[in-house]
Amino acid sequence: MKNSKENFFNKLDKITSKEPSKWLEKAQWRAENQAWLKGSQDIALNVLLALKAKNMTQRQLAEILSVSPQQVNKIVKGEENLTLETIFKLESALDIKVIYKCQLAFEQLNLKNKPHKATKLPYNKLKHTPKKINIKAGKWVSSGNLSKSKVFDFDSLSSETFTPPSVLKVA
Amino acid sequence: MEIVPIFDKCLYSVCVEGGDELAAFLEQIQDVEWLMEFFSNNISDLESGFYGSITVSQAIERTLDEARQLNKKLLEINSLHNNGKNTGLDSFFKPLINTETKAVELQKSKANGPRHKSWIRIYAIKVEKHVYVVTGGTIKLTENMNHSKHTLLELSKLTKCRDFLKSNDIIDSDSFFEFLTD
Repeated sequence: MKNSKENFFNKLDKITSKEPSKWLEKAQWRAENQAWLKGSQDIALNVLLALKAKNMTQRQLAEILSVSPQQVNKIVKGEENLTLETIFKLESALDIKVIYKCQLAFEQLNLKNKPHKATKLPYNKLKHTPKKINIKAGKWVSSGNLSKSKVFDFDSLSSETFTPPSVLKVA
Repeated sequence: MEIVPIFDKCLYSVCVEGGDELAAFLEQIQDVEWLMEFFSNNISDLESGFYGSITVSQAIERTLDEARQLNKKLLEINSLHNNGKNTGLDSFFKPLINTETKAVELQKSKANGPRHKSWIRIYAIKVEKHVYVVTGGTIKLTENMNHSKHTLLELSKLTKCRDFLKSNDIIDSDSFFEFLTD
């Protein structure tokens, strides 16, 4: 039985290439770079749809971007780790949006309701217990007695106040 | 014709110019441009309703998502193989003909993508228990393989590979007998 098995694999060896398959190397690379590859594929799809809608060829796009047609071809395959500069050039050339501004407001961060992201300091480790904290231009500053809780508005860059539920250290 | 080991003494793939069938297929289903062309060329099959109502963009996104899962699955099989564990190839691949329950010499086989009602197919010849030779793969948009050119091509590649293996006497009769008596 063993001889038969060996004989079988010997026969297989005779028709087997000495060049190894490249699948593993590529599969591992894909798994390691999955996050940005997905973004690259999304951009590639947007670019292809825009080209179709505008009846534009990859060569014409390459001319507008002042790059080689091969470069554009790499982009539409969805395997290019694109720079922000290239992305904005693509957006401008095709009149599409692939990057959107982060619309997350400070209110959505909801710091008060996320105690699991903070660690309470032991009382005896504190040099002093600030009763109130004042936020000024994005910095935490110890302040006097302020009682009102307000949300800091980054856009206005004004000094607002915020009363923490306890003394917290952000983890 | 030549073959190349994917997992040594376990999974092989038919060689093609510049690589092999499995690597080339995995590359295709993660290439956005190729997918756009494929679904545009097969738009009538896509819109036939076999997979419900779906646009070309949705079809591309669905395939890319499934290709990522398939990539992960193959890496898992590779890890099992490297650790000397059962790769589970005999459950990954199934007979090409669903009703073919009897043991068949050099059986034409297929593996579906990981998603439920997947349209991704990898085709292979089962040489013996746990040993397969991949002949290609495609996105199957129709119920029957005889209904589109690209699936017909895969059928002919399966036949060609089986004939090639037969002509090189790649049949393990002992294992085949074990298979019959299981």
